[in-house]
Amino acid sequence: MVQAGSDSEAECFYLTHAYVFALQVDATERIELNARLVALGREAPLPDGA
Amino acid sequence: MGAHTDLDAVMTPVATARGLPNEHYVSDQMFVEERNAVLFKSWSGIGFAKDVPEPGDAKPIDFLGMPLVMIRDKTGELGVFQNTCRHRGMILIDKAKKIEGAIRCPYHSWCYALNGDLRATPHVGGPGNNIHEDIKRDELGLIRIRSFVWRDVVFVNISGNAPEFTEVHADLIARWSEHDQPLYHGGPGSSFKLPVKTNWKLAVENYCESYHLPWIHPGLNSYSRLEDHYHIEKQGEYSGQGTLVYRQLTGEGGEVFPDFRGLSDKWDEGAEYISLFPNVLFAAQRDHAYAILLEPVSTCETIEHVEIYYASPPEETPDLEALRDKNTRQWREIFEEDIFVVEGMQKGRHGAMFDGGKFSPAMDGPTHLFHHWVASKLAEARG
Ligand code: FES
Ligand SMILES: [Fe+2]
Repeated sequence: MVQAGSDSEAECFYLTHAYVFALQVDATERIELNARLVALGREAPLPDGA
Repeated sequence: MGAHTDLDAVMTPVATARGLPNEHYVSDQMFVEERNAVLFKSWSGIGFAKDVPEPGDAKPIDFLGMPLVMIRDKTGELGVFQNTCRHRGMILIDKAKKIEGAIRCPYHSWCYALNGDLRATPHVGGPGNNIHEDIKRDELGLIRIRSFVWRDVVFVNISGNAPEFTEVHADLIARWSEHDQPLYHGGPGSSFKLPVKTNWKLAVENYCESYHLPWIHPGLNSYSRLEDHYHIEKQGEYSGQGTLVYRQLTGEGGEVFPDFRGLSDKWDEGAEYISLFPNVLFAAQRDHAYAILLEPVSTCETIEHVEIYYASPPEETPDLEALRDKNTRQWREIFEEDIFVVEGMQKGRHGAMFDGGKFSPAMDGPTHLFHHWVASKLAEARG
């Protein structure tokens, strides 16, 4: 469980925004950002080909 | 709601029938009833596939107050969705644009794939946490509206329970099967809009009859006389008129548009003009086609969206650009000649003693057929 205000929360917040904008413009970074968020238990894996 | 209008007199044979009562043209309440019972329950035209040519192209459309969006996905399929975010109901796409990757809602940034799937729900489980057990993404995709593209027109069935388009319109699809080949839009000069102060039905009714041609289109009548026309009547589906003396437009140097491929002789001098119920007007001719989509804006306002198509792409026939412009001008003049009648009939329906009108059994069959179709749809919905 991530503590409120911890570095990890700040990281997830930042990753989330980066991920959303990568999705929006179809940037390849979305794959890695998704993987990092998934590893942190904060996101669902992208479906194949997405 | 509006159930007081008498439809029985409309649903008798043309010789004895009366037209739809005034309320169907002047009452806002009836406009809403027809929206629900007629336009939403059948296959209505909302736009043109050529307006979203490439993957990622999206175009929002307000259809009778309902926010929709046409999107071409990565596989090239055209989809129509309700343009409303599944979260708090924000409008997703406010103007035509190219979407690179995902549709990001401008409010809390939920993201949808071009096929409508919900892809991301940022912070939905609290800051930095994008998942939550109660947010089931596979249940929260965009609401897909049934759609079908025919002759470049995008049709939708909002109610979702009409029989398949290809089943409803099997007869016309077969009738024009020879014309089932690529239609190339003529480009920006082959597109125009005519806003008219009339109820949408009057534009349908005027289009499917040839009775008015000698009076309203004297130019056309100089070579295409009333007696050279025949009625087209398919109960419950479409009506219109055909001509036996279609003449190709020719340019300064005698040039003509190339023909659609492999048409039978019937089309050498034949052409057909059909109102496909509820709201799209089509033309099939040897060398070009057009579609007029009637956008019902309000009880007494309609926008006619006119798009003209050819047998070959304009890029391949730049030398025919002047002829295409001339063709657009010619059709525009003809459609403009019709404006005062559809607007005049709209005004006429404020005459409280008008009883729907008396049809000519010889000339008004196609018009009555449309009235009968509308009345049947209303009667069905009223139960
Ligand atoms: S309304 Fe669309 S994300 Fe909230
Ligand atoms: Fe006309």
